[in-house]
Amino acid sequence: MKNTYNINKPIGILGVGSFGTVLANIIAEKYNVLVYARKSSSLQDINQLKSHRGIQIHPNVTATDDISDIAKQCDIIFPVVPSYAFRVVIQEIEPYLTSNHILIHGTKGFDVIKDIDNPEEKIYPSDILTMSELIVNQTPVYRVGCMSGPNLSKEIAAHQPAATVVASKFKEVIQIGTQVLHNERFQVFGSYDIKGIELAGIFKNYIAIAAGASSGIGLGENVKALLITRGIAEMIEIGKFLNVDAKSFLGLAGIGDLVATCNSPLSRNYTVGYRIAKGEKLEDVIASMNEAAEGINTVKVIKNLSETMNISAPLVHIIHKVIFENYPLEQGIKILMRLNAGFDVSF
Amino acid sequence: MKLENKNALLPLPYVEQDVYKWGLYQLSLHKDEFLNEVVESVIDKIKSQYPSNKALYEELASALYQERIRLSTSRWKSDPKDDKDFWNNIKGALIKIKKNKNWEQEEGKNIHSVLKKILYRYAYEIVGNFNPSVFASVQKVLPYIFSFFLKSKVSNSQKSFWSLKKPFYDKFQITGDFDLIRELSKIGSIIVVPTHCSNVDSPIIGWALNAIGLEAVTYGAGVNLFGTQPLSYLMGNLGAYKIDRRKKNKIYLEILKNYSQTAIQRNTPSLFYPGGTRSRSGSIENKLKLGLLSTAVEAQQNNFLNNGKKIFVIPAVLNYHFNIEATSLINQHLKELGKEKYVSENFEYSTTYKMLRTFKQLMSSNSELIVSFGKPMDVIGHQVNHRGESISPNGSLFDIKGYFEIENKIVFDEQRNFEYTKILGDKIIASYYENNTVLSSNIVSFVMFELTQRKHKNLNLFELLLLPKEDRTIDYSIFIESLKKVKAQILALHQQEKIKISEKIEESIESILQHAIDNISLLNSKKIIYLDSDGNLNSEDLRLLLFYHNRLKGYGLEKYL
Repeated sequence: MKNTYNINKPIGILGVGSFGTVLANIIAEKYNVLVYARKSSSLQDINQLKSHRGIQIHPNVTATDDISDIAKQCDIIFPVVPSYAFRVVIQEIEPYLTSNHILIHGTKGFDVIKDIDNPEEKIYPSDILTMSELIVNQTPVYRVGCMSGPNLSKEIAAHQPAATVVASKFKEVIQIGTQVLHNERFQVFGSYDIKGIELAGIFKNYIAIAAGASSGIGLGENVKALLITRGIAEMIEIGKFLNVDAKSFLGLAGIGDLVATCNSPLSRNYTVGYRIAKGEKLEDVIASMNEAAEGINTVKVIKNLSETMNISAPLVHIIHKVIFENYPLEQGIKILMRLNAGFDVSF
Repeated sequence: MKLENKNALLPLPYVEQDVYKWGLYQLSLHKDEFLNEVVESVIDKIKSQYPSNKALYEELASALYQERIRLSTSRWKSDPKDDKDFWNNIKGALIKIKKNKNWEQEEGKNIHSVLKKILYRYAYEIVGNFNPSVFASVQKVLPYIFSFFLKSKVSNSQKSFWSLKKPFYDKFQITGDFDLIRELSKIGSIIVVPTHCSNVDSPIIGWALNAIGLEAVTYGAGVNLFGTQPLSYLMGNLGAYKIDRRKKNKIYLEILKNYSQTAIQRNTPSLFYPGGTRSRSGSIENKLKLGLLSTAVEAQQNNFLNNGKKIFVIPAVLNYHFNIEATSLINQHLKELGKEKYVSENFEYSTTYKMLRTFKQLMSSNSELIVSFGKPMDVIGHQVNHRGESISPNGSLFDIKGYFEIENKIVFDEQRNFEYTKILGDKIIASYYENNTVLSSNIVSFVMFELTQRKHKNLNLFELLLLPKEDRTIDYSIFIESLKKVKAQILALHQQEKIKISEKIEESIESILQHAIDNISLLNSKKIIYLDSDGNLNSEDLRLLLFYHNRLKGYGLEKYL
């Protein structure tokens, strides 16, 4: 995998959420970074104050509010915007993208063509796109990758060690991603199974909500371990319908990310579950968070998909009831206990 | 898009009138220089793949071993007389190298010279020739020969023998954007990639290309086809190069790929069958052999580095009602399905005979012969305009050079190019499906085989094929009902430009059935579809019915029965 590329242009980042900000700092240790910040306040934070979201900004990072600057000045771009805004941002930058560009995204959510809030809509596998599929569909870019793994922004911002997976069908993209991201505190693993890695990062979010909810009602580690392991089994089952092999779910982006998020109040998805279980309303929880919890939409999509495709996925149905229908988690756990458990590892 | 018969215009004048300027002729003229280039590029590649003497030695020894097995187990007429001597010499040279104790540490001059010997041997085995005067004679004579067959059916008069060139072109229904294809052939190198299910495909596609005024193309043909004298002489002088499928060693495969790639880089129009061999099942290719196809992508990368010339890929679909090789093809397919491990590629002595017979039937009946050219694409499958510029999915023009670059510098990367080849392969397959033309025989055999399968749900495919005659009957009214439904769905797909249809498909259901019955069994002694004494449908050969049915697989038509 050793191959050093000559990279002289700045690395582009789309999105200045907390992950986008820490990502900019990681890359800035070795390369110049140009970030796209739509809001003028963020622009000022980064360019003048050199501090954003409470994180000090590396001197190699500059911000622009013109998305075309990113495409024109950078060949390597990391889109890290929430999934609900991803399509719009990609459409904005698309006119400036060329065959030269390489995109490595860090978004753990789906793009769904159908209205996920309409209970009448049936969602089929072909209605769901991962972010890399969306990029290939909407732009001339083929060389896409994703980064995924246990990367809680606050820990990275505090200069703690961490690791991630860069996945792409292209060895070149994995190598470039590794070259750009790797430093003494940030380890990078590679994978050719981009869809598997993307789905691992997406699916784990609803399990993190379940784990948060279980902590919220005061349940202990036995239940959490049960939720996590049955969650993986469920992920693998759903993955089969989306043509994904189980292996990637067992690595850093799957189990690794689950272990981190299912135990951490730093995780947004965990927090959503925790607070709802404590009796707060979903709207209030969302309103009080300054960034999207991807897991909420994932629950809607996966529940709908599992019904359409007749996939056995009890966990997602219970979480759906808990966060959208004020259903007490205790009841949900009782249902899980009553089900015919069957075999442990049957995948 | 409806099939338009543009054939009134055919043949079109040649894009390049001077045959001595044709890429294929130039290649023949500078054969030694061309082969030097091929060999040098393989040596570079192999040196980087086997950096140590030991690794290279092992590869050469393994090639020698495989060649010696071939010599003792499978000798063909077409093999050179001195084959045995040559490989004995190589054996001697390899033994000599190992006698030197320090051979592993040495510079590797001796071992590289053995490699070079093998490469030149292979290169001169593979290389084809193009002789403009042979080409000109064939071109003059063929229409009259074919027309003679045609005439024998039309009238008994001998007088009009020389005036029958025109009806020959009428036999062909060639569709596609000829202007665009012709224009592109001026700008860059073209690679034609047709579907393949018969040995007559090569002359037919060759003739179609000729009819639209393109230069002769180079193509690889199985060395087994070079055994029959008249055909061998023609192919050998019309640009075919020889592929020996018995040789599977890495060195041979590498030189074969580089031969194709260097020819493309030298602006020689080429033709590959990306399915690899004839489709055994009769279906449209839905899996391609990417090895040879990847030479298009690699050549484009090299062109961007050198002269910037673009390469254009032109898919083509060939449709006929019948296929003289159908029985042996479907038998091989069934053997493979039945998990018989090895299907031998038999030496086909009778190819010239088979071809002539097929042509005779094609010419002497009302049968259709359709060649549909798909939209030309660049090497990553984007459509292109008249200036050869690539069109992005959103309709804007863009340069694909960047796909091979990092920060505006071309970076060689085989793995990346192979991923591009997969994308190209998928686009070619999509084009095949869109340009497949539904003939009466396809739709009728499709419906009939599906109904047979449904009637005997509990049987597996192999049991089904053994059904006794009386159990193969399909009720006429049920058949007509099902045919109506499938026809409606095919027309809907046609509206969405997902398939093409022959004129017959727009006629009445009864007329479609009759046309199919008349055409499908032309080459067979057995009736593949017939009406029995009770007026119901039956088949004397379910295997062939399956073969012709398969042409419409992959469109999801089964649901509409």
